[in-house]
Formats: sequence, C-alpha cells, structure tokens
Amino acid sequence: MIDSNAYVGEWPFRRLPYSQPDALLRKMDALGIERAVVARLENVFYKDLLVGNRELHAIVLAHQDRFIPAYTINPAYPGWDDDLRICLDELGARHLRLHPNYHQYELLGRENLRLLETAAEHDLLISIAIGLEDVRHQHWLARVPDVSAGDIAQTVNAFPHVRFLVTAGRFGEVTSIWRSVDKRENLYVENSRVQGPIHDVAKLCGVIGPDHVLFGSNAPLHYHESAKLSIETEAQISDAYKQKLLHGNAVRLFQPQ
Amino acid sequence: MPIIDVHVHTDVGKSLDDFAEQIEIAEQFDAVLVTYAIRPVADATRYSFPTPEFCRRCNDETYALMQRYPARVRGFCYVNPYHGEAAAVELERRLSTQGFVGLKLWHALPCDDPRVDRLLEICAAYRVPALQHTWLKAGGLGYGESPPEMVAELAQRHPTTTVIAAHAGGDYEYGAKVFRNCPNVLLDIAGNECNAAGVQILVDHVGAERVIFGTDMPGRSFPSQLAKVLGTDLPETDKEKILYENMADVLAQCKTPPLETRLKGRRQ
Repeated sequence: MIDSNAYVGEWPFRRLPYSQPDALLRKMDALGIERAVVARLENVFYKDLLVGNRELHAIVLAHQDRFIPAYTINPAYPGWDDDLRICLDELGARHLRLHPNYHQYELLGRENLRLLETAAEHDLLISIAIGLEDVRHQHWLARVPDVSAGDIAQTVNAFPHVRFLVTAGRFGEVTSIWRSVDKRENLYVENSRVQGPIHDVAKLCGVIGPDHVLFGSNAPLHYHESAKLSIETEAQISDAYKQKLLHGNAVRLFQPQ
Repeated sequence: MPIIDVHVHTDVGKSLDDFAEQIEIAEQFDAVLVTYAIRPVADATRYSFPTPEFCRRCNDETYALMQRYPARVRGFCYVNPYHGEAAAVELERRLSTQGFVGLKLWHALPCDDPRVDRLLEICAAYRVPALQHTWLKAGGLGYGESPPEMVAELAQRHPTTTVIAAHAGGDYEYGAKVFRNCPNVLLDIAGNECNAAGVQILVDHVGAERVIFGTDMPGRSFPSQLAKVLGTDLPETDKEKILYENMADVLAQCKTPPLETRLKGRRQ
C-alpha cells in the first residue's frame, strides 16, 4: 500500500498525532502502508520554503525505503526559481507540491506558468492541494478557501503533457475537475477528503475510472483510516480495482525505487 | 463490534427503495441506523421551515422504513417547533403509537424558543433523546441554527432529558469545551471530516461515556466516519462505548412501544 498524499511536520492550530516521522512510520506500520509521499507541513506557512524542503530532504534520506518526497514551491515569493533549481539539482526533486490558496497566487498567473513550463521541461509531477481542512472549522487567523476546481481544470488543460495529482479535494471538486479536463491521461486524484457521499469510492471509479484514483491520507491532518477503509470496504468495486487504488496506480505515478 | 449510527437521513435517491443501499451498508458493518427524514424523498427541497403536513410526510416515510427494516432502523420524529401544539401532538403520537425513539430538531427555530421546551418535556416523559442540530462555522451560523452554547442551555433547562448535540457542535474543540459540564448532553460525531485527534479531544473533555457514533449518511460515507473512532488510540472499551454501548443504553430506557427486540436481545 502506498499513501499518495501525506505530510511530516506540525500544524499551527492543533496538536496532531503522527506529525513527526517516527510516529508517522509507526502508524503506517500498524496499517500496512509501505510507503508514503510526504511534503513538509510547515511549508504551508513558512516564507522561505527552502528551509522546509531541506528538512524534508533530510527526513526522506533517513527513511528512503518509506518516504517519497514532494517539495513545496511558492511561485509568488522572490527567489522561487532559485529554490526550484536547488530542489532539482541538489535534492533530486521529481515531484512538486503547490498550495495556491495558502500561498495566495493564481494557478495561471505569470510566475506559476513559468513554474509549470519548467515542470514540463523536467517531467516533474505537480501536485495541487485543493485544501487541507474543512473551511468551516478553520482558525480565525487562517480562513483559506479551497482552490477553485475550475482554475485547476484550466491549468491541467493548459499543460496536457504535465502529470498532475490533485490532492485533498472533495468528491464534487475532483469529479468536477475531471469532467472539465479535455485530455485526462496525465490527471490523477486521491481520496483523502472524499468522505462522502455513500459509496464514494465506487462513484469516483465510475466517473474517473480505476486507473487515475489513488489512496491518499492527508495525514497527519486526517486519519489514514478514512481513505484506507473507504477503499478496502467498498463493496461495489472489485479487488482488482482496490489493488490499483491502494498500490498499482501509485507505483505507476511515483515510480518508487 | 456492533454499531449504532445515530445520525442517518432518509433522503437518498428517488424512492424509499433506494434506502436499501444504506441497509446494505448497515448489514456490512452490523449497524443499527437511527433515521429521520427532513424531506420526503419525492421533494427536491429540504425546507428549513417545514409545515406540519410536510413533517408528517417525513415521519410517515421514516415509519415506513422502521416497518420495512425492523432489525436495522430506529426512527426519530421530525417536527418544526414553531407549530407549537401541532408539533407536540405529532411527536407524542409517533412516540406513543409507532415506536419512534427520539426527536429530531433541525434549524426551523433556534432552540432557545419556549416552544422547544414543550417538546423536550414530552421526550422526558417517554425517556427518549432529543437530537438538536448545531454546527458552529467559521463563516457564521445559518438560518435558524442553534449555536452549541444555546444547546447547552437547553440541556440545563431540561436536566432529565437526554440531549444529543449533533455534529458535536460542528467544531469538536469548541463543542468539547461548551458541553464539558453538561452531563445530560451526548455528542454525536456525525458529518465532519475525519480530522486526526477529533474524537480524542471530545473524549479528553467529556469522557467516552458521552460521545456517540453517527455518520450523516448519505452525505457522508460510513467508513470515513467510522475511521474517526478506529483511528484513535483509545482503548477498545472506549471505542465500544462510542460505537454502540452509550446509545444502546439510551435506547434501552425508551418508554415507547418496541418495534422488535434486536437491541434488547443483544443486551441480554
């Protein structure tokens, strides 16, 4: 089993279990999750993301058989292209994580277009986090709307050769994106915040197909068990589909060593 | 481990037959569904301010499901307190003659309205719980919604009635603080996202004896809500309380005609 969307690090508004690498690994072990794609949670709020990315690199180096890094880039902040070059050349980045809502930029703004052109040039996987938590329960100092599904669909349409993973979207958001995209072969979604309606995983497979949906936890903000149980207990899809969602699709997308 | 899901809506699909999908889930997880209609399946709109006739149609459908699936469905009666005596008559009729086991209040009126008090007195007489919707939101309350503090005051006015604070107040951290000193309030965990530590926070503040499981199906999925409990590091005994025992104890006290004896049988 491969978790396609997790973080290591602390969240400023709530004490989280499994936020630190050792605790996260223990939880993964308990649930039979062999590997996880991880980004640095502090990089949602840091200004200098290179600090968080270097920390992430050190964590992943210590657990190379368990963690797959997703480095965070903020194209709205000065020096992002230098940061990206360092991530590529020194840290070996193959996967970038974007938070357009928390970092307050337009996906189709000039700087992000440059970032996506670089991604296309280097065959980088781009993951876009729609949101991180239910907006209804956000802290009064950080009320951040989800990224617009329409903006994500336009971005995917503009870069059909870039592989995109949409993370932490709700059912309506991810199905809306899927339906609005013309060429879908490079578009993937994960199920961490797809927590309804009933039979949501079967319905996702019905709309998107079983080859583009991945198991993702959004841990440590959410419990792994939600996404895992939602797939494993779904009575309306086959075991072969479940295997794709839990493992096969992630192997194809992330190509872990 | 058997489960009681205290927060299930009937409005799925186009006919009551579509509820079979939820029954299949109940069978899969060995769950009893405490169910209420807030709109008849044939109506596209959930009216915030329903008429007495609309509520009767809702309760007729809940009763039909109770009869169709006696081993899996319990019913709560839905009324609009604004209608005063008519709402009270509807509640008492459903409790006394049809085996409904509780009251569902949504957001037609905030629950500090005196007309709500009459309904809770009836609940006390039949020893059934009153489930009051409450959901604190960062963007503010919706029409007629009751904030958690108002539900706490309602419970304090009716110390012999079991009050269920739906969605644990919406924001679990907030709800845990508000309801900490309200011994007759149970916190239902239905509807929110499966946030890490959420249920743990509730238990830390009010104890496992006052937290009860719910899903908010069909809008939410059963596994995502179950994971809120299974994902914690709570002892198995606490998980059993939340998933089954606490609500089974409440239902066992009901003085309404039993539809069948499944729950009673489990406890013998």
